[in-house]
Amino acid sequence: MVVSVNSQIVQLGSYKVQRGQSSVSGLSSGAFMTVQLHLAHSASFSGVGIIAGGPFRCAETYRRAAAVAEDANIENSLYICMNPLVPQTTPNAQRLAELAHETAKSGQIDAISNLADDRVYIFTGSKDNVVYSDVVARTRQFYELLGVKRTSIAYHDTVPAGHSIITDNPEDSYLPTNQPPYINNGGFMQSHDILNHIYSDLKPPAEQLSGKLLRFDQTEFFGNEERASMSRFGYAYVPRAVEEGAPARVHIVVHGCKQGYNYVEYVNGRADISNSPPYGNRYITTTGYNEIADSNNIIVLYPQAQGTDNGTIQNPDGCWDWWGYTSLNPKQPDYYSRDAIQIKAIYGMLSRLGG
Amino acid sequence: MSIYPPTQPQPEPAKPGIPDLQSVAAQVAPAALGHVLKTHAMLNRSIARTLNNGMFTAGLATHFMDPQIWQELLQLQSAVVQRLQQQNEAWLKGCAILLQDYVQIKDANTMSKLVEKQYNLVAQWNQLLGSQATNLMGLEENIEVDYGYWASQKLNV
Repeated sequence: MVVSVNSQIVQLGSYKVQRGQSSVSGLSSGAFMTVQLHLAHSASFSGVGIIAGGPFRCAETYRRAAAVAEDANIENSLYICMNPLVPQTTPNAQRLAELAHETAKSGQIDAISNLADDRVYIFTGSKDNVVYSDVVARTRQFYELLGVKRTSIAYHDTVPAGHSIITDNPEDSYLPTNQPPYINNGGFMQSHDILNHIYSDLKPPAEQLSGKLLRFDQTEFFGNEERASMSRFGYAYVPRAVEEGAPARVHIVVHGCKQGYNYVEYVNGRADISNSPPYGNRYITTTGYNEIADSNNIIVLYPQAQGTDNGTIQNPDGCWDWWGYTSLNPKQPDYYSRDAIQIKAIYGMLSRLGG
Repeated sequence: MSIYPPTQPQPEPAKPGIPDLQSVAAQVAPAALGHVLKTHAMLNRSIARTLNNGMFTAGLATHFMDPQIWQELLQLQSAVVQRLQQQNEAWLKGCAILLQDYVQIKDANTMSKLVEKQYNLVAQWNQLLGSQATNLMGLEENIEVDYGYWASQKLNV
């Protein structure tokens, strides 16, 4: 089912949201960001969905990779957190769990103890060659080490899927595909599985949507700073009952690289604006989140990142920051903390909604 | 604002979205120097990493009786061979497609179409070469980083 958005640009509003009951899910860079958001603001979340994502501060696994921290982080991201050669060169979950505790102790993220009763959904396709399954296995280990109960973690690694969020849309790519738009048809809606795992009391998805998909100007949440690498617009689906005052929960959906609404393919290092149309809002309208949200009074928030590739910011694929490209001080990147520009912006949106 | 006319003709302001040629040209010389320095820095980084990895290898020599070390080294090697095989497959596939394109050039009906097809073939060839070179360089970095990381764990450093 496809939902359309009218031409209006609105300001993100406030609703009767139950605090501490929000959740977040994402794919790929959105999954890394999901883990960061979860840890940075664990007091606000009750669960997460991670599709093809690695553990917290994974990019800082092996500092000796390069003399400059910024360069080492990029190389860690590529060769340890995405494509490690063997399982022994995947991130060390034990070390990263200790790092998470240290980060919490220094006050940069919420207390780790908040995670104990959270629900965690983790997925890796067995055909994924963008973020290898060995890395995602470390994410499970990482959460267990932080005190999340084994029974609260749903871990899936047997579906023969490529790097993607899975849907049941006939138009979407063949399941083992590892190519943009990274939305593959596997005969089920993964978004429903995620939300059903996080919230155990959900009703079946709506056949007909009752609410509105809103387009809001998200620049107010990051001061329109270029280094945020975020788009002008964000989106939110608000069910009618919530608009009319019913109590609600918020689920944040964090897209992956090359999936923001205004993403344009970079060809030979330049955005191919003359040939390639912007990606559009397929991730927002066809991945099934809105349908299950509608029948369960859940607001779905879709923040948007955009591609930038200049001397200062190297993010041509419009990925969320999980290796430090937005940090003001490259020697001490803060991309994972409550002060990180993207995390601050998304949390600002959640707070505005009332969560 | 000055009331005097400018003594020299002023350059026309650049159109929005199009960089001003004069100001960009002024940045070329420092940028060229920057490229040289960056390449130098990258080479130095690779050399430093190789030296670092060499020291790790020397450290691992004391563990040469440990079968676990040998087993994991073999795993690393076979992972590298597998990646090279994948790159080779992509190369052969790319060449096959280009050959097919080459055969079809003769079907052009107009001179402009002929030039376009020839140009496309050259561009596709360059793209294939570029992606192979990038992937090969990526694999080299991957090996350097992963080997160093693996060895540092074995040596607890």
